[in-house]
Amino acid sequence: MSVVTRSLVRLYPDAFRVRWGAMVEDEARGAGWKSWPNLIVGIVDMWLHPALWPADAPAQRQRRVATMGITVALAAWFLSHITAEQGDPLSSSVASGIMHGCTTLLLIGIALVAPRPRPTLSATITLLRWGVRRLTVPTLLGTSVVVVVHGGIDPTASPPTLRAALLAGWWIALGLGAIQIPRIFTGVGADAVVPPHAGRLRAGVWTLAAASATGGATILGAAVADGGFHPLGAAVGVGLLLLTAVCAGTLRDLRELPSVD
Amino acid sequence: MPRSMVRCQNEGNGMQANDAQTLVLCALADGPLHGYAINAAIEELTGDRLGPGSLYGALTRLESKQLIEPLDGQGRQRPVQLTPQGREVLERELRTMARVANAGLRRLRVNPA
Repeated sequence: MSVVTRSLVRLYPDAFRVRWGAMVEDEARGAGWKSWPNLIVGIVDMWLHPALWPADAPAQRQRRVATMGITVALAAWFLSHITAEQGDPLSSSVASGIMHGCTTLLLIGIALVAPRPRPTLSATITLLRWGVRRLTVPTLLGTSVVVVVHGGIDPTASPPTLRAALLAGWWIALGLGAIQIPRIFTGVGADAVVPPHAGRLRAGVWTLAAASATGGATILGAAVADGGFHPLGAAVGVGLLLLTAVCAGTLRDLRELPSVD
Repeated sequence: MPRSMVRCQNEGNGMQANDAQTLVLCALADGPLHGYAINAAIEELTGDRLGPGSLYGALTRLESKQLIEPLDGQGRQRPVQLTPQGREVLERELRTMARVANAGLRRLRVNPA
């Protein structure tokens, strides 16, 4: 039983675990298995609110929110891209026009929330080193798929396993890239990047919330309208709306936290 | 159940009488405590302990709002105490709750305890 409790406590974010981990474990062990659902809800709650994690300085909280903003933006882009590649629910020009607008909003949101590199040589080198470390695998995988596809292979003549492998390789490369980019910012630390100030961060998260809400509503609407139901489109639409809820929670956290501007 | 009664119950929840953060602040009103002692004080106050996720989630939120601050720990336990701002917020919250409770009891024609 204590193994399960310890494993659950390990799922908390590092900053939380360093501050409270031992005490949470003692409390949960004393309460037994009945505390596990509450523990799981607490873990999810903490991951959805990075602005609240114990921090040495307010700038550390802002850096976490910035990283969360980039993660949300990349997740939203990835989900929208899946729908765009499938094409079906977004066949109308109006829906695809709205999705182009959402992509533009996502790019503006990323530009607003992204931490700025410090203007020093050592910061640039650190950032490049982390970039290479994190993105080498997805870049190599994606490039390999592109090279194979453009290398004269006839998709209709090739065996289904090769086509499935290429498709899987492409999506894994994109997904891995979307996961690894935020990890660059968590890896480099405060010596290499500066988080945006609170006002800019709020504007960025608002923009990302608007992009994911509009995109989610559009895809969900298209997936259930016109007499047909597209399960993938519906799932992606719901996923984007959940990302909007994450942004809304972060905006509330930012409003409640003491200002550092 | 009449609709007005349901609305009253919802408004009761809105008062945050059972809000984990308010309970933690109340438990800390007497002085610094560590997590286990905070939960024991809450149990004494309400008859129920908070789950570990709720208790430490509330402590994290209160610390982020600078309403509590950690002290140097002994072993695995790390006590926390109210900040002056936390004391102020708790007093304001309790006064509001007391005002609402008194008004409600008067309307029920029950003497406040």
